[in-house]
Amino acid sequence: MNNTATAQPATGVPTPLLADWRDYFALLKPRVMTLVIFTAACAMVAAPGSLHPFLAFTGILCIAVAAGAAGALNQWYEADIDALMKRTAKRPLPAGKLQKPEALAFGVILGIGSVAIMGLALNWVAAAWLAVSILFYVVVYTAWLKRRTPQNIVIGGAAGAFPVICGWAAVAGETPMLAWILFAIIFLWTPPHFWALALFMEADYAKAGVPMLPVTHGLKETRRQILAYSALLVPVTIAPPLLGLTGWAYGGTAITLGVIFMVMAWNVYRSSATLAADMVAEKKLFKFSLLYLACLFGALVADVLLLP
Amino acid sequence: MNIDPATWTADERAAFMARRASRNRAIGILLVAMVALFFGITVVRMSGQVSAPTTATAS
Repeated sequence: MNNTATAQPATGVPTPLLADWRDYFALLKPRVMTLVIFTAACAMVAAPGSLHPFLAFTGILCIAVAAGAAGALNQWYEADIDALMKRTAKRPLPAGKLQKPEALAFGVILGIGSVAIMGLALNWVAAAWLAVSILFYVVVYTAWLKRRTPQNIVIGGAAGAFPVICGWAAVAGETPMLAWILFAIIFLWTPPHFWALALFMEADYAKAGVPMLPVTHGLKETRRQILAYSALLVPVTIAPPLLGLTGWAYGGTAITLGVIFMVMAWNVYRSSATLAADMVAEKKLFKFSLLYLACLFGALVADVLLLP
Repeated sequence: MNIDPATWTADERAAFMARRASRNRAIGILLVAMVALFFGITVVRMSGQVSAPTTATAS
């Protein structure tokens, strides 16, 4: 009974409860994991070389579990500010469903396990990149940058981009230029995506004292930065066909999606809404940015699979 | 702090038992999955069908 967690329900009466498996699953940030799995799987398909289906499954599993481990360690470190924000207050730690040492142990075990299995089952290049991705997210982004600089999202975006490198390295054992272009796409996609969210969640971040760009530099500067990063992102997405690394099936999709993305970023730039409820363009950009990345990587896979 | 099982109400005991059963099932499933994963990895690697990387061009 030593590991009995004591949940603190709204009534204020402590109730002895063991943490449920769902609480541990929530620590993994399953929604973030979905995007990681998708981009890593696309990179594995696009990478040259062949891999036994079972090992491919193992590679994706390791990348997903590593992302989950990073999410668990992120929640372990940020339990104090998660409790202050409406969006995160129901997570297992701030809700009292889990204790911090449990979350720490869970994250460390999953992280070490995923790296070890990736190395033993596939190759140690992929395992090394997987370890880098976990450490980058937890140490560089969560512990170092997030509470110190409004550029947290920019540099932290690399953490979300590493799974592509891991996926590519799992198949090919190396990371050539196309892998790094895919990395750059996710890296440059992250600021417009998260800043669009931060615009209509600005009050939450301000309450928690997180120096997100809308909090430190205002809404107008954030909108300008969204447009600037979008203008950097679109040319990078078109680079693969220009360099002869993919066909124009992907290229055409990238151009079409890029035009739509730029129009939406421009609408955000032109917006002057100050209340979250009025931020229609920002919410549209946030939602579209998810679809944008999925379609872009889907087009890459289609290009590689369908065209000679 | 009500962590002494002797002081639990019937509802608290039932909630605790249900969670412990659920957690035990989850751990059991995970252990079986780990065994299957390691068995599969071993079989594939011993069969020599790991990977055959080619030159680094995607198209």
